[in-house]
Amino acid sequence: MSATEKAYRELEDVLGADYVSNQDFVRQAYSRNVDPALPDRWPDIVVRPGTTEEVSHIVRVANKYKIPMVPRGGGADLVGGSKPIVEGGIVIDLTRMNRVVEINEDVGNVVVECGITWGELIEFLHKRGYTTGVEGPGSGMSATIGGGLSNNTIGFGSTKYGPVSENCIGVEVVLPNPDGDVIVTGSGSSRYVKKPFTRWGMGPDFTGLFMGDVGTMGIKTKAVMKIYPLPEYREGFTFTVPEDYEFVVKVTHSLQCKCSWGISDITLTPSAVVMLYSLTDVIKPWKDMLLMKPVMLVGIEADDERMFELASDIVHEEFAKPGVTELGPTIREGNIAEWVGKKQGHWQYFHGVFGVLPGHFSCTTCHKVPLDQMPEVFRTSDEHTLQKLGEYSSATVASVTAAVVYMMPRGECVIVGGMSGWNKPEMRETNLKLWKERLRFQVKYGGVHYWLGEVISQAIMEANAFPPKFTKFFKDVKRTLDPNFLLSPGKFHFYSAEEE
Amino acid sequence: MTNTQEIGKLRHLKKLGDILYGCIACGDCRIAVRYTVGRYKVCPVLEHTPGFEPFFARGKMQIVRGLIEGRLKLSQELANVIYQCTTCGDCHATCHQSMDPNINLSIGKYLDHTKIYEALRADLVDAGYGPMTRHREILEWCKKEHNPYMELHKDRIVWMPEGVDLPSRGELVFFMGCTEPYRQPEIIRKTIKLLLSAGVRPALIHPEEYCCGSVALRTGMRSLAEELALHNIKALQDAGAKEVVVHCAGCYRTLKKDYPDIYGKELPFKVVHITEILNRLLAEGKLEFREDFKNRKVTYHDPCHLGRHCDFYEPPREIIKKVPGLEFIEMKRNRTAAWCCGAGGGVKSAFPNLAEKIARVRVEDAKEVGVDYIVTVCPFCENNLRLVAEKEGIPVLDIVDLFKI
Repeated sequence: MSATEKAYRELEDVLGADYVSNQDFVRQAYSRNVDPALPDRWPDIVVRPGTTEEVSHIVRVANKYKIPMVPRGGGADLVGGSKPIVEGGIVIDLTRMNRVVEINEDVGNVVVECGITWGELIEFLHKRGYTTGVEGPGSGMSATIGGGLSNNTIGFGSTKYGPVSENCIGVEVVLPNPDGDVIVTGSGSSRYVKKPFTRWGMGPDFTGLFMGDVGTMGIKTKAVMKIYPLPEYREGFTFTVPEDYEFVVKVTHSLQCKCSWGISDITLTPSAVVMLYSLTDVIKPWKDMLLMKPVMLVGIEADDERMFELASDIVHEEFAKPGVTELGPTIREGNIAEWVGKKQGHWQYFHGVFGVLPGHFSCTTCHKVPLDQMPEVFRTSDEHTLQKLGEYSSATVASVTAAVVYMMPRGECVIVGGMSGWNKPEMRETNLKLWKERLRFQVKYGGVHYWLGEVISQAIMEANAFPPKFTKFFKDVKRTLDPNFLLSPGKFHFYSAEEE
Repeated sequence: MTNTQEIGKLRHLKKLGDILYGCIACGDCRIAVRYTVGRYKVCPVLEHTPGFEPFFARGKMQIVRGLIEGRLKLSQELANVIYQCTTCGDCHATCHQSMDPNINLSIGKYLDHTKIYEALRADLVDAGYGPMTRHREILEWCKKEHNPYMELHKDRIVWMPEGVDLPSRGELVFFMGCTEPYRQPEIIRKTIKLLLSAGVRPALIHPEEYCCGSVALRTGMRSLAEELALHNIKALQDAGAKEVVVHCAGCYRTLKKDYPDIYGKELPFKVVHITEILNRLLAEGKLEFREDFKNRKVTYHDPCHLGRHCDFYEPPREIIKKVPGLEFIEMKRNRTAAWCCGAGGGVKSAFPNLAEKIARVRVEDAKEVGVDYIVTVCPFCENNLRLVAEKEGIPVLDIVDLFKI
């Protein structure tokens, strides 16, 4: 009997036959994520644990037989982070662990199992008058809290509340060591703390070790997320603005200085994407008005009517400039910010660029840069696209520097972009080559990515972003937690404890 | 014409071309919750299974891709999972659907999940793995006696009220279907009495009316479905039909949506739902409602074949809202986001326990809004919901039960 077969039996003994599978069609179904470039890689076994103890058991079995593991949340990883990177192994589907454990209203947090989706959690919280602030990534209807934390993701709400990981104050993690040790970080690490209430004060920020780790340092099973009172007043505005990135930088800086308390979202949709939406009927009112100019959305929120009106006044004063037109107030009149806010369209705002042609979707290149560098990033990125145009067109790849630019607090922005590629087997190798080239280019101009998965974590290493001493430190930390390098091997090109 | 060389080579899936690559695998079809637009989860089957990806849409799409790209082969084990799907189309209703008429996300415009599942089932049939044993028995009978209920074809009109004689030709034809004549004769009897009371005398084309072919289509028996469809189209045309009235939601979907595809061109008659006719007759003052619903509460269950599959939501609601004294309350999941009753896609016959578990969830939706009755317009939904609802003290009514006859 092979090691994999023995492992299968030992997993079945504890999880039960229903929640362990090695059927070929199940393995196929877990063989890829959301990209048109990576090859399908089948795991040997897929498991669906229901408890932290079961996750710990899986880790022990994997270590016993030296089988790689990949944790998986909602599975919508855009860069190959939640399917095997090396052939075989165990995919740990965590979506059965989807309960709200407790809500601690007095200290403003909620404890959840990491397989719960943003959609489920937001419904739970809104009904009780709370929100997580940033309400999850673009796939938030089905993406999990664990996935959001592992990818350090952003979403609507991030202009005010930052990335999701800044809203996490502690996690329960199964370490990938041979004993499958379970630890809790933040204040919950103390046996004397009755309920978690702060991330800091128990030594280094060990919670941070598991934020944005893309599932390489441990398997998060529970998370403590901050909650905020659900603002009574929320509104969205949509403006067409001049074709001038300096204008966008100035207006964003100004709004954040004057009204950081009330501005929940600021985004820019560049003119190329506005044209795409208009021409392909994605946004019908924009098509009707033949919209071709850049568009900015602004979301405001307040608990009090006077503050709400003040925020609205500040926004309108800031946009009362030549070349700016406000669309709306209704969605029918082009105010898409209303759809984003009132119909939870924020979970689909980035979907407009996907699949304009059947079978084409994004080799995602989302990354952050300082806001004042945004104009330069657009200029150099567009130049890069022009240089590569011949290769892109032969590969049916179209590059969009940004589908949207999302503004973050403290003068940074996220360039939400990618390259549309055709998801056909014969195209995937070329798509991957061009994708990685683009990512290395971004790393080298100082772009900082956040969901890293397989492709971006590897591109960072290939671009030599880390000095040798940092790489050694990184691997030493990894080795301490995962001595057999079994958790997500291949990310950051880390394959084993020995190799350099 | 079937090319025998192509049988077993995924000929049905391959015909669909690039839409097979339309799924980007975002997974919103797993469990999307978007309460502001009434979206509370997606797949009615998923929560009653071990929950691996193949039990919901994204996994099925990855499987289809694996088949097309040659990494995976059809098998009996795969068929057993693929047939555990009610083909309700809720995955399609949430896939890149903005829930706002002003925003049309690209993938939502062309990716048709139900069509892909039915093509996959047809390929499983070609390969000898489908349909399920019970489907095979039913469809064998259907070939012989033109109904899936193991009844004799000649008995399709034993429900006919005494003294009623309907013509066999006419511009307005009532398409009976199979479920009501054989399993709910009181409903079809009331329907015909209602029409006659309003001065409408439809034709019945018996013995030329055969099963519409829905069961065969949903379970992948495409050649049988095509035979049945072409037979019925010819029979209706020969009878001089200009308007064909259908009550059964499954028949309606099949005649309205599948028949034109099979026929290859526009049908020579118009297909209308009974609720459209009843609304017309109500507007003319030719029908009356029962008067014993005062201070009672009712909800409406959208049959998948009528609602999501045919975008037909309002006429039944318009009728219910007119009933004097009856308070209409929507369930939290309605219209495009309505929860399936669990009976469709061959699940009721092959996996009855699963069908009942799903019905239980739907009845909980009705209980949550505190209604006295559930009204629907699909005999299949009625039968399946009734199994659970009546134990909970909630009668399931057909729309014609609201009228005074």
